[in-house]
Amino acid sequence: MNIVNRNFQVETATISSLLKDFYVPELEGLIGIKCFTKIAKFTHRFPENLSPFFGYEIQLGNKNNQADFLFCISDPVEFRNYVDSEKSGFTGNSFDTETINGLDNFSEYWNAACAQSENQINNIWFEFDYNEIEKERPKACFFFGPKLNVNQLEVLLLTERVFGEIFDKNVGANTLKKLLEIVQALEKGTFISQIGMMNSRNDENLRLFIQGKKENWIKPFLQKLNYAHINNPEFITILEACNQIAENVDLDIDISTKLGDNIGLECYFNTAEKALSFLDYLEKNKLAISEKCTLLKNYIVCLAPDKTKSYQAFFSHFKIVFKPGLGFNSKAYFGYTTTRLAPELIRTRPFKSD
Amino acid sequence: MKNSTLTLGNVLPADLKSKYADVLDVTMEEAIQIAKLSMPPSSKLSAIQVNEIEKIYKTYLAKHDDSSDSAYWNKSAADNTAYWSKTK
Repeated sequence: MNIVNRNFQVETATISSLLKDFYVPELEGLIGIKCFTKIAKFTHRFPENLSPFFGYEIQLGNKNNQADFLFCISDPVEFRNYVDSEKSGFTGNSFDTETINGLDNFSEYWNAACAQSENQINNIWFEFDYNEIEKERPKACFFFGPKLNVNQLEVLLLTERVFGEIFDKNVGANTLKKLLEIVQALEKGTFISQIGMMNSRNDENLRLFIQGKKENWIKPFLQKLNYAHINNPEFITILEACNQIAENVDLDIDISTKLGDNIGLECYFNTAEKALSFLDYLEKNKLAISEKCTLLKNYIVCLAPDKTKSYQAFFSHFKIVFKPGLGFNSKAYFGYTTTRLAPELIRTRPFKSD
Repeated sequence: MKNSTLTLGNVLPADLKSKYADVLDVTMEEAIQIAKLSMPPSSKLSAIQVNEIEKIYKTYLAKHDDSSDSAYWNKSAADNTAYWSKTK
């Protein structure tokens, strides 16, 4: 889509222009103007068509008004076009040079696989930590979603190649062996939706996002994996609360040759009312500070679908990260999706309707 | 994409390693080409080994089918649309 600027010149709409359109007063307390300006400047190089689904991650346990930025790409052709423009220097550099070379090879592979009807990847995600956005050549964390019908051995090969190509990182055979063990341990109805590497944090572990459709599936699954802290009473209390209040709880784990200690619980809600009651729980249990809770509540309450717009703003989910010995971090995710995809992607029904 | 040197022996669990000891040196890439794409094996592999590779591949077939991909959340797109469109 194109937009006409004040000088009546036609410009390609960017993610930045969408973010500016949606930067409502209720958001200013959560994402301060300094932070927002940097994100808007950074995302100016991403055309709107590149991502149907993007947004922010904010920390609930501290007072800072900064956000990380995440976006999803599901169209390999749009991605290829974007990488081509990056290579030509037309848009300015969004990534460090090594990564852009890796993305070039990866996007070529992804396009070719689609053209031959052999695509094994649903979508990819980039996550930029705020401190990276501030840099001239930010490093990204990268995730890919393997299609669910791909043979598990092929998922291993894909994982080795994707991260080898993009980050020039050698995912060790023993890490891949662990990945296979975990995939095998999954019950029917539970699946790995994303495999990632937190590259900007110099972390070469794999991060797995695991979605489960059954209730209370996480504890038995972690027991099956012999998770070292499964009997930690604080963890169990939080897990039970998540299971009780949220309609869906997904799991993030880190793996290398073994299962990592840190666990992420991603909590999804069918209604804004439920999301706010979970926020109350976080506040009451000192997992989120009151100021942030108030700001976030105000933002969630103001969200309203507007079918006349091409994008919809929405609240996505909360995440609680358990770090044994260090406690818990809580985060909130909210963002924007195309109106066409909104009914499919937006889980939490807003208070207001159009 | 770069070529892989990953072998079946690198990733199989102990029980399958002892069961399929003759094919542990086969690269994952070749194993997939044989089992998935029915490509001719390298000459050093016997018919028995090819058969074993096919069995290993079948052990790791995905537990989901294509249709699972269409629902990002726990509802189908149609269910979600209907739910979201309901008036309060």
